[in-house]
Amino acid sequence: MDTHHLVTMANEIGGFFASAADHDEAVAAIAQHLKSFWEPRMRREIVAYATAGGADLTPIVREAVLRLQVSPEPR
Amino acid sequence: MLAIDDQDLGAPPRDSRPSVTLTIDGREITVPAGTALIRAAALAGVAIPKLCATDSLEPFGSCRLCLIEIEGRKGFPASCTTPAESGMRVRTQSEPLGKLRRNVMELYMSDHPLDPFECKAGGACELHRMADAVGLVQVRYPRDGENHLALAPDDSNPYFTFDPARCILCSRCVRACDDIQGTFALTIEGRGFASQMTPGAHEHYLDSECVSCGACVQACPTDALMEKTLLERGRADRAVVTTCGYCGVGCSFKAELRGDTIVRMVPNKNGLPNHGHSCVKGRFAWGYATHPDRVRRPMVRKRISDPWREVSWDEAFAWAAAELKRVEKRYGRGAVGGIASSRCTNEEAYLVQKLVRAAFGNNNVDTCARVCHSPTGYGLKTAFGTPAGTQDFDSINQADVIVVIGANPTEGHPVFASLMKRRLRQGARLIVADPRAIELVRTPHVAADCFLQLTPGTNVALFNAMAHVVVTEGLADEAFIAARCEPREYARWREFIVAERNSPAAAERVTGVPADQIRAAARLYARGPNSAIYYGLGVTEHSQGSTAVLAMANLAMAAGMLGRPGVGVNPLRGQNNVQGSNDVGTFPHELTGYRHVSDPTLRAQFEKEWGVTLDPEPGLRIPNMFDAALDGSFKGLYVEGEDIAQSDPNSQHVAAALAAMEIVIVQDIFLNETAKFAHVFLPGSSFLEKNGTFTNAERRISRVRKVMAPLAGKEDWEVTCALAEALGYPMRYGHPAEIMDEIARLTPTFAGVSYAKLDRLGSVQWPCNEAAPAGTTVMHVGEFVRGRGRLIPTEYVPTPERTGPRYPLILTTGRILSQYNVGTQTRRTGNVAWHPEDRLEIHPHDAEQRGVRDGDWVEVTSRAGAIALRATITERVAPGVVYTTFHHPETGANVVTTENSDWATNCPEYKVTAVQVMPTARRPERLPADHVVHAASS
Amino acid sequence: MTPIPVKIFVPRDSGALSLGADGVAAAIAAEAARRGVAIKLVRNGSRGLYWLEPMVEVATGDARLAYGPVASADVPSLFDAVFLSGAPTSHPLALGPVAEIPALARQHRIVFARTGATDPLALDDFVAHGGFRGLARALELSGAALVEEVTRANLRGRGGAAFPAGVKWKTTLEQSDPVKFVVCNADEGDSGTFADRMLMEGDPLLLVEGMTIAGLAVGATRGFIYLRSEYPHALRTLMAALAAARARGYLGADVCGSGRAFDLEIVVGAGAYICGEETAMLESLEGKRGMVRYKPPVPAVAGLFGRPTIVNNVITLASVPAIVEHGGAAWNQIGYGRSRGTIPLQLAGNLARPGLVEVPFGLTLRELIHDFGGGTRSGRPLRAVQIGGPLGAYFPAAMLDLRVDYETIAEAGGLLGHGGVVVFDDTVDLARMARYAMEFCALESCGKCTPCRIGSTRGAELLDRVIRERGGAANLELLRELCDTMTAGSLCALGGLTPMPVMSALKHFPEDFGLAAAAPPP
Repeated sequence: MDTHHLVTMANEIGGFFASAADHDEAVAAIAQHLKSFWEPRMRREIVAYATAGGADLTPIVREAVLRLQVSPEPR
Repeated sequence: MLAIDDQDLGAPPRDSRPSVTLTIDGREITVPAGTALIRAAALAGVAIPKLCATDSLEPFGSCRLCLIEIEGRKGFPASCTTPAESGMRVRTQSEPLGKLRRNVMELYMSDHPLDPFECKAGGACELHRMADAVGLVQVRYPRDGENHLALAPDDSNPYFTFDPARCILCSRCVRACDDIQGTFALTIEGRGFASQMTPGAHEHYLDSECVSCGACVQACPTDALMEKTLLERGRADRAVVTTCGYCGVGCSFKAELRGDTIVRMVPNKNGLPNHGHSCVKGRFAWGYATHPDRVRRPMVRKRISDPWREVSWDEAFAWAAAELKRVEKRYGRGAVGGIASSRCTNEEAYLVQKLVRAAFGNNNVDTCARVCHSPTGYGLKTAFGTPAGTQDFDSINQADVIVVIGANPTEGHPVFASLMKRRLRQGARLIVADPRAIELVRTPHVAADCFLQLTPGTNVALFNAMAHVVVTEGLADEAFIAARCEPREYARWREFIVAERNSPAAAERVTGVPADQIRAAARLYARGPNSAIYYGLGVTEHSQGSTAVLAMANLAMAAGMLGRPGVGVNPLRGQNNVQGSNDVGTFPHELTGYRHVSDPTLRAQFEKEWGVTLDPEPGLRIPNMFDAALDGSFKGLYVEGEDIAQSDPNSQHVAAALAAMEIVIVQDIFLNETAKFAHVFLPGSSFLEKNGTFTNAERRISRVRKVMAPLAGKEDWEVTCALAEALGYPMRYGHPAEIMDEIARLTPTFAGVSYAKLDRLGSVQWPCNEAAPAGTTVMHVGEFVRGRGRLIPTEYVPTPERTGPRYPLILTTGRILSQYNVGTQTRRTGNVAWHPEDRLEIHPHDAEQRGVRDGDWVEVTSRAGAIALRATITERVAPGVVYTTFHHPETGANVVTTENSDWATNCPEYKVTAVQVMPTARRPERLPADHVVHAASS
Repeated sequence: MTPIPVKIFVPRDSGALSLGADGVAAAIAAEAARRGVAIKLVRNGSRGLYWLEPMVEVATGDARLAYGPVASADVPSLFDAVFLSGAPTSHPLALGPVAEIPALARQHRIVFARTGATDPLALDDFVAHGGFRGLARALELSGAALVEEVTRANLRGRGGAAFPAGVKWKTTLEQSDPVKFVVCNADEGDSGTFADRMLMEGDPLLLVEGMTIAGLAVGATRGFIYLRSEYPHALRTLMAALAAARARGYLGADVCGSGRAFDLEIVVGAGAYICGEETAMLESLEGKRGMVRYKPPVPAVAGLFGRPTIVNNVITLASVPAIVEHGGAAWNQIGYGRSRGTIPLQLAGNLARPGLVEVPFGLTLRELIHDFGGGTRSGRPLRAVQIGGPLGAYFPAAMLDLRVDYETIAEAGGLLGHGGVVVFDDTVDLARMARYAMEFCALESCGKCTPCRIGSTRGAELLDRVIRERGGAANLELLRELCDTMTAGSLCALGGLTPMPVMSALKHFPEDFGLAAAAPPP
């Protein structure tokens, strides 16, 4: 998958939820959105990117991505 | 002229105030006070002769055939214009009445062809029927008197003729154009005997303001206005009630047939979305269904560079199944997926997602709603608990303030627009928010009270500012909010919305709309008493599409404009079945009824019904599929009824993705652009060739009935079943009714839906279940589907698509009445008589700066590409904004659109592209139809 | 001491103008200048004695002496006869004191009392002659009390239908709609009628006063005068009158300081007879094609722009100030039978003394035609009289003893209509007049309803055949049926009444239709 595109998308999601008053709630909402709408291979890739530093992710999005539990690739 | 089986009661119904009881020819009848006597008589089973009266139009009183006698009154009042009163004793038959009617009819016939066989309407001609009914046997006036018999017909309209020699001046056409359609294109010119009906000021139909809705043809009692197909094919001998396959209004039609040939499509008087009205597409533009371009045999090929090879259905299925299995085996279960269509039936969309989830074993299923109203799904579900319009169409009849945002109903949803215009003529106020002065801003007898001409991409700022005014000026409906909304979230939202950055002054800087106008609109909206929002793709197809939907929901909740007739938040759905295809589970993360696949209890229910184990993780959405294809992890695709290669943005990206796949199966009625990348082509069936249901923008489920046999031998649902069977997963149904039964078993909001009920009631609006056996017209009455409504802060985030020195203008897009989306259907009909090309609308200021004159060819360049089209200079668009329609492949609007998309749903940002416009000598070569990548939306 | 200049009146009424009044006025001014005599030339309305127009009046003190008909060439001789002295002269055109001219002295002028006496453009003149007294009283009364006065007067619509104005006003008063209108029907289209024109040109402020009272009575704040385009002089006079009334606070947001609003607009028609029909007129006022509406609802309930609307004729509204000033009972005291008050009858056609005659209802046609009208102008025997405009009945000479009131004329098979009386001598062919009635209907039909739209054309064709074939039983049978159809089946009075001249001609003058002459009435 195009990691750059995934990062853009994730940051835009973060942009919406960042306005929530409570930081923890915002992080949880971002994580939940990714879990609800992103197919596992996309999540795996963004998690891998975040784990590797995730330089282009906004801090709140990086925090949310790192909370994601991703199941191993199904076969 | 009347459709088969339509009874005409002669006058429209009256709202029941006190009812009155009277006798007509000795029969007692009770009707609402104010009911015209002719209608009361019809209800009592007494038919009074008539010509100018019809129950779709207000009384007129011109023909003087329906005269009657009332005991105690002198003279012969007309029964169409005389209201029923208590205790009246009416006689419809007497010797003087008989003579009077015969003599009036004799006058008509003195200026009309005498021989019924000369009449092109044959037995359907009301004039000749009435002549029989009144017992006219001779015309004593000599034939050498003044007459209109030699007047020449007007054949200019592609679909119908007007023969003034057959016109009886009843004005039904004129009244229908005025009162039903609201276009005011027709008039009676001249006086007395010289009176003539004419479009415009003695123009031909095609040159006039006529929009070819067919209301005049429908209203005509003689053969003066006649469908050309009826003239060519003869009068029908049977009729099938079905649902239009064009836009999300979902008009009910009667397909009239002679044998197996369609003679004409006639709007169904009893159809609840349209009440007997129609537009040029549904009424007339159905000829594409039998166009020679239709593919009638399945085809396969090994490589996309190979020529197609026609094969049997069985061979095609075997080929497709083998390839899918091969790909799955090699690349994994997640390497294949399917795309369902909003053009197909609920049952077909349901089967596609079932095929993917049960037979492919993953959730990689999506639908073309992705590129149009997916933000509606996200936004309304989040705010209210269900992703659908809150009202029925007729609710607008109780609206005092109508808000139209990012929609152009007179072009895109013409039949609903007519209803809206009628309500506006009755005095409802109108707010239009649009970058472009759409027709509703000023059209005969309708003008917007507030026209907010905002910069494309700034909807959220505008809605926030309106909500800011509502809250800060004490216009919020605090009682509604306290009773109906989440208090903690409301408090948080309130804190957000009153901030200075959401004030009208701040919004003016972003949207370009003067703060005073924003305030005026907000006050008008909040004061209602009933205010209703209608919106379209101008809201959703943005990087903040979902945010904008939420912002509108916030505004409606803050003003208490939900949960009763006359209010609500209502998406105008572009395609016939956008609502339905989503309802039946075609989003990758949701099973039917918008329930997330991660819910184990829910999955268990489906697993039991389907006999398989389901994947608990959401699947790929359409744009994700393309990314995954280029990534090498997605290799096989089954696409039913959608031309993704044309309609999705970032054309080269899509083409590359499709080319990277190993098995692409396309099922469509035409060999579309996506088929260029396909290995298997399965010929589809049009809406005329199958049974099923469509669900329109008001959640109304209506039957689609097979009018003619599928050209390729199979209805689309049968094709999907056969493919599943070939994959080793049998999906066996005898009739789509059984598919609906399965949906009903699995989906609480559909639990009460069955074909038997649809046949009985005509249509139902979901939720339809034990709690609401006849369906639900207005949602969220008493409480929201999710319980309490959620107001969520909707921060305005500018689109990443920015104007600058290189691309200083914003391109936005829209549509025109006579064409539908990329024109695949409408360009294969007589509708090509209108709108021969897409034009770029540009403000005189911007044109002047660039030396562009009206009609010049211009090149439109974005960071994605360049296209050429001709310019129309107009003040409909603001300076800095250019606009085009996207119906013609030559335009190739998607060459310039970008990959930006809605943050929540990946719905593409079709509506905002930064461009430069320059004069050019370049004229695009005329390319074959469907040969160019192209913008679309549904 | 400068002597007070002598006032000389030369009418500005378009009837007088068509007979050369402007030339006479210019000649008088020139002659006075030549002789160095100071005069004040006043352009008044017409007295309605058209055979005497241009009728010049000289006022000294209270007396007004009349001369007429005056031609420009007569002016020097008038000066020679020292007509400016105010003393009676022996000039051949001398008519003596205006008030004593028999044709005027025998009238009972209430509505037209001021017409001809005053300068129609001078508001002070209007007030000096008793103007706005009705309005002054109206401002003291409630709407219901005003309606009651009009009801008590038994004032019936003078436009033609003779519908009780009080009933109409009461209906409008009772409507709860906050927006109501008063509409004056000044589309005087009947051939041979000119009362509305004469009043609007001669005493326009009376109409303003009457409409204002109507507005006060029913709670309307806006009124419209729908004026036929053929009356350019009336338009100019009305516009000046409206401007003057507005400037002096008789119209506007605060009528006479009462705090109540009423204002007027003039809308000029486009030459369609049918727009004299009240519902077609309302359509036209709304900017639409002049097509007849069906009733109910009547305009008093849903009229202009769907709002409750009083629609009354010029003379009806002009009768109101006197009724309000003197009380409805006074008005009701004069008249005949159920027709109360005075009626301005308009004599035209083949008459020695055509003009306007305002008298109480009840005189006979003979009195009207012979005593006022002076018999035929041609001197030949009178053969027919058409009463009530182009849609009225033709009566033979044998019926001249009919009384002029709504019921008597109606019982005789005719209608009084707007009060037009047109006289024909024995050269008239009633079959051609019958054909003319159909042709008129064909020309003026709005085209909405079938009996009128097609019937009138077929009727004219049929009468052509009757004339060509000198009758014919089948032709006449079909004509009778056609007339029945138009009478019973038409949407409005145009188609419904066109058979009246046709059938009355056939009944009273069968010999003109190839039939045996009718027996003289007993």
